[in-house]
Amino acid sequence: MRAKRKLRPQRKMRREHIRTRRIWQIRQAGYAAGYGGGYSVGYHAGRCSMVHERLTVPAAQIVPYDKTVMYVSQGTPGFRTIDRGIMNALGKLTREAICVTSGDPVALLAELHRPDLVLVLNGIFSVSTDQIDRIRAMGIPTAVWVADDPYFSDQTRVMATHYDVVFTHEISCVRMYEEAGCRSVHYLPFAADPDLFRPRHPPAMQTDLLFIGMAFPNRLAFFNRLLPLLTRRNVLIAGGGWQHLAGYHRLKDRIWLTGIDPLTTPLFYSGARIVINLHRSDQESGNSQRFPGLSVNPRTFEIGACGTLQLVDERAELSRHYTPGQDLETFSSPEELAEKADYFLSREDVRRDRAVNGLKKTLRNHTYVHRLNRMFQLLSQPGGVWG
Amino acid sequence: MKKTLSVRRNAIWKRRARRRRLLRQSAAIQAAVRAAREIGHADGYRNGYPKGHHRGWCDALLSWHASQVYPVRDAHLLYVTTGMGVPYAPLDEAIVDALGRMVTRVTVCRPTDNIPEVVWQEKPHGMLVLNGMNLEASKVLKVKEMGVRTAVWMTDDPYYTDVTGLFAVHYDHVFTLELSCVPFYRDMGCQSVHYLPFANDFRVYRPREADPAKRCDILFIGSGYWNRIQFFDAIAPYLATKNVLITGWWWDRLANFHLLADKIRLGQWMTPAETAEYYAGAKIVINLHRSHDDDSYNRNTRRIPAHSVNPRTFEIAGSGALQLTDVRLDLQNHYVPGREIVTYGSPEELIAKIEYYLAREDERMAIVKSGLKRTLKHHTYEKRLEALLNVMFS
Repeated sequence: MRAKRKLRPQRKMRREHIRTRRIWQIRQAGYAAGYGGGYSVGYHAGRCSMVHERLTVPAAQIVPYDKTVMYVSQGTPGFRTIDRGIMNALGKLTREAICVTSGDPVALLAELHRPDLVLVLNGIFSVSTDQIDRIRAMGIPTAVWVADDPYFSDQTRVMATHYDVVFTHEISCVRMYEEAGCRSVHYLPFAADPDLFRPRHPPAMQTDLLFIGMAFPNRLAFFNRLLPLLTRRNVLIAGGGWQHLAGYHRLKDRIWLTGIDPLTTPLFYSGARIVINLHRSDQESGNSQRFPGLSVNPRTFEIGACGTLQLVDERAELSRHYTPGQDLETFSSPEELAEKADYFLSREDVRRDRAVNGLKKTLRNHTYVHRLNRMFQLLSQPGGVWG
Repeated sequence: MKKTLSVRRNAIWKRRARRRRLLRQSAAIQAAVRAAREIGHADGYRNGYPKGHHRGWCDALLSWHASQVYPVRDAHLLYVTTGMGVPYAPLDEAIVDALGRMVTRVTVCRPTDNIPEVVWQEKPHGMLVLNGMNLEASKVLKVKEMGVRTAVWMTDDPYYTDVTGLFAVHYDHVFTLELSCVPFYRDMGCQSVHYLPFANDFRVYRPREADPAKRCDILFIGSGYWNRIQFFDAIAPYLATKNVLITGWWWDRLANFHLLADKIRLGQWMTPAETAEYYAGAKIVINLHRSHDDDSYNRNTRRIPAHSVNPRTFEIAGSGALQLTDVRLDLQNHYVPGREIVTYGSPEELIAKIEYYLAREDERMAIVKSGLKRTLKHHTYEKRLEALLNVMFS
């Protein structure tokens, strides 16, 4: 009896000891796993940051034009990233950039500042055409960069005739504006702002598949056929209207109906292993003439600038900007998307190579500095408003 | 009957209590296990991320530079090696490799070969000799008579100027890695003398994942020349408390050898590949130039001062370790002190800076990165040979 009592505390201590050691081993195993994970994420981030450092043109090397440009931003959330990108680039490329929003008395401000150009983004909803007419009457050149072609072509066609120069990101609409009577129409795609859209670490959230955008009917139909993939993987869908998705109740916690603030989307793109980009259908009511959607959306460039793999539905103009199979991947059906997503989620190295290539291509060719340089070149051509 | 009932009830209660206790315990254990795994994972992630980031950054930088193409010059060059084996063979290799990508044809000879015969048969446009101490002057003169441009690249200045000063005059162009030797060769009668320091061979010295056995905090690789012995004697008590590794010859001359005995590997000559691995695995590498008036292996009776940095400066900077170096006049032409490299002027300063940078991982990495960038941009053999070929074939 006595001997037993004596033994007890020792036995207890030994058990404690074994338990502590076991816990320590578990911690070590966790450490090893975490180290590997952190290392590989860090490796990709480091690679991206080097690429970014190397390909970003220093502000000192950009030669600004000796012009004053007044930029009328759209101001609505959907265009905030484009507004930001254009304003940043204008700051680098002009002597002076005056940024106002479409709600401001634009004509009055133009009279006050007398810029060399008034550039309006998208102008359909907020800048009234008589304001533009007044600015033109003052002898100040006006230009519009239409951002929603071809989905509102019925309205934009009427509006565009009030401007001196029309830029559209949709190549199929160039003919339309020319036929509507615009004298100077140019194709100018959108781009990404590398200061805003860059690989951001740490990201807001780690996901396998990410889709950000409104649930337009064609997108809903497409995602309805994608349910097995969505339930299997760690997905995030953000945007309005997704409650109409067939499997909504099962995906409830992975669908954010309120959407994501456009300025924070890079934080989500950077944390996603694959970002899906699905263009809106060109068969919409605002496009009664059925101009085809041939060109890519601004999001294509924005995703490309974040150092992540983009899966995008193929549009005719895509290969003009990126090389599918090298900078990004394309799909034409939900089945193909599911297959490719599974492949790239299992092949991390291939996925990252594509991602880095996409980042390089974007920084080399598709920033707003490139686009505005092109715009100013077009304007300075003989016969142009600055020519 | 009553008694048995109560006994049975007691037993049931006891059993239930035990089960509850066990459940409680196992829940606690599970929670502890989960917490341990999560804490471990978070710790690991935090430590792994910056390591991976650095590696990814370096790899992207290196692969970009590797993909750069240099213009190929339409020339046929005869390259004469030092013919001395280590430590010159790696230099020969690096130069031949870079030359192969920069001129249309390279023929490689040893100084013992019948060089005039080779020149007669192959008809090169120019001859580049490395070091030249083993090449007889008569051969050089014969080659020159055949109308071939000759150049020599001195590798040991100013330590062998007694010898090199004698034969330099036979060459059309003299390249030296020592700034202070340029006027010396001019005085000896050479027409075209140029300063051309060594560079880093990125095939060997590059950031890499080092073997854990080859990692250390502070590293010095080199022979124990007297000025180094003096310096290390002063910091030996400090180094004894650190994770230090010193390799090379003659370190047993240290008065404080007993303090560092377990940290010194004596008389071991390491291959460049091995050295590179040690550099890459170290946090801080010390570079201490040998003194120009040290008499061991020195034939510099004119006492020409040494202003230029040693080749090791570029090699360490290319390896992704923080370099702490003593100041030579020429250093600021190659690296910006404090931003791309760290300098010290006294043992006390060295100790203070080691302490500072060992404690600040991010500052150290920032300097390493900009040093690496500078090395890749300006201090590669391609850059050097471009300059050399410009002089030879202009």
